Amino acid sequence: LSEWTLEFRCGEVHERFYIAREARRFAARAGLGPRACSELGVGVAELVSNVARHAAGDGFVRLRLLDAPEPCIELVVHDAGPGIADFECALRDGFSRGRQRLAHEQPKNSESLGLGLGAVARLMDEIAHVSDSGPGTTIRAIKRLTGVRQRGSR
Amino acid sequence: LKSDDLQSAEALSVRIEQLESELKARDELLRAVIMGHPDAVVISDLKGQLTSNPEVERIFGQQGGSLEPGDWATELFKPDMQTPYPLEQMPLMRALRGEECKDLAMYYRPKGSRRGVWITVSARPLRDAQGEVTGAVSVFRDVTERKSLEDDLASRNNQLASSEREKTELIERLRAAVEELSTPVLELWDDVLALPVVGVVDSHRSAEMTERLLAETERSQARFVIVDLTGVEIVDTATADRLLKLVTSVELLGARCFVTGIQPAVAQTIVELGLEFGQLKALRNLKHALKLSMALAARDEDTL
Repeated sequence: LSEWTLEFRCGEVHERFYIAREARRFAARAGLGPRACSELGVGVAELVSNVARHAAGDGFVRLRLLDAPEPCIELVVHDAGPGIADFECALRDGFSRGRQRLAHEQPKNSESLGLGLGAVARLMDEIAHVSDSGPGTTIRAIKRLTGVRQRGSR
Repeated sequence: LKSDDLQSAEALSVRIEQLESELKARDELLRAVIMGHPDAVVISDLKGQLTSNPEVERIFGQQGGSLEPGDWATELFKPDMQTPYPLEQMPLMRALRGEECKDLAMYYRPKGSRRGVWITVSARPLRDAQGEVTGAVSVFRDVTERKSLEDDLASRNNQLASSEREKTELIERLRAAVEELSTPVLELWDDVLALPVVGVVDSHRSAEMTERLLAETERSQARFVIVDLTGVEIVDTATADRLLKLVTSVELLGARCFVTGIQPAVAQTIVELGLEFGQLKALRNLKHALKLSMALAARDEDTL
């Protein structure tokens, strides 16, 4: 079963590429189509960026192939950061570091776009903030295997 | 009365005998402890008469018990292994002056011998009931083995640290080499530059890329710049943001920037990212972009 679990410690922002690549290979092995693999990879990259950016780079990423309730890849990213106060709000584009950017406002150069979580929500089939896991932030996202195969066969 | 005196004298002598044998027993115990002590013990009285245990002989060789302090003082060195230990600073001498010292490191090398022994020395004065110094006891411990283990450990640590340093340097050099290789700016045609991007675009690399591309655009006065993403497998929001900034800054120099070769899977995810890509002029491939650039260049020349 360990063959279907992939785990990484993550901290540095550049690590996202390596982890995303491994995640994509994992997803391809699990039977995800190229597009879904790519989407999962970007989702992983976004969440790893968040760990590096908001949690002082102390976290882990875990990918698992699950059979129930339906075949899917579960992505769990945990960090020891300050946590997310309002997850629904954080999912909205432009929300980052506790503020909502106005439409005409340009982000400062050093600032991130604040699109990460929203993008993950669009790229994955499900996303949830696991709040009962103690301090820090745990995000759990699901990429389904079934729908993807249909999409791939089209 | 007389018989009383006699009795008490007898009792006294019995008592003295008792005490003498007790004292002897204690003396023997003390002697046994000193002789059997795993460290070298040297006891000196005020006249410099020495008593020592067999371990002293083991460390300092055959000379043993009746050793004059002056003799071994010329064979004892400070931890630099060069400077002879001054007689006045010898722990036993200091103890005879009433000082106490603990775990002083020394190096002992007998005359004519090349290999020495590392020792630590502690010494304290012996005092009578009035607190007057009556002698001194000095304890030597052979720490050669410990010292060599410590030295070994230290040298291993050094080796490890230097190999770590070498590795870090190697990584830095490789990184620099990869950077040299990975951000070539090509002059495809008159006025047309191309930046083929292969692999991942992290912040370090994108800064490098942007700098080179802008410098090259400025230098060559190119009017068209093609950023080819055929070799890019993953574009997340941060990467997309950097690419957009790259394109924007090229256009601020007055060049037209085309993006080519976006992989289908990358294209699909870029759409999902939710970034505003409106300002980006994307073309199918490098060939297409070059053709368009050349056509536009020709048209511009016609109108000028």
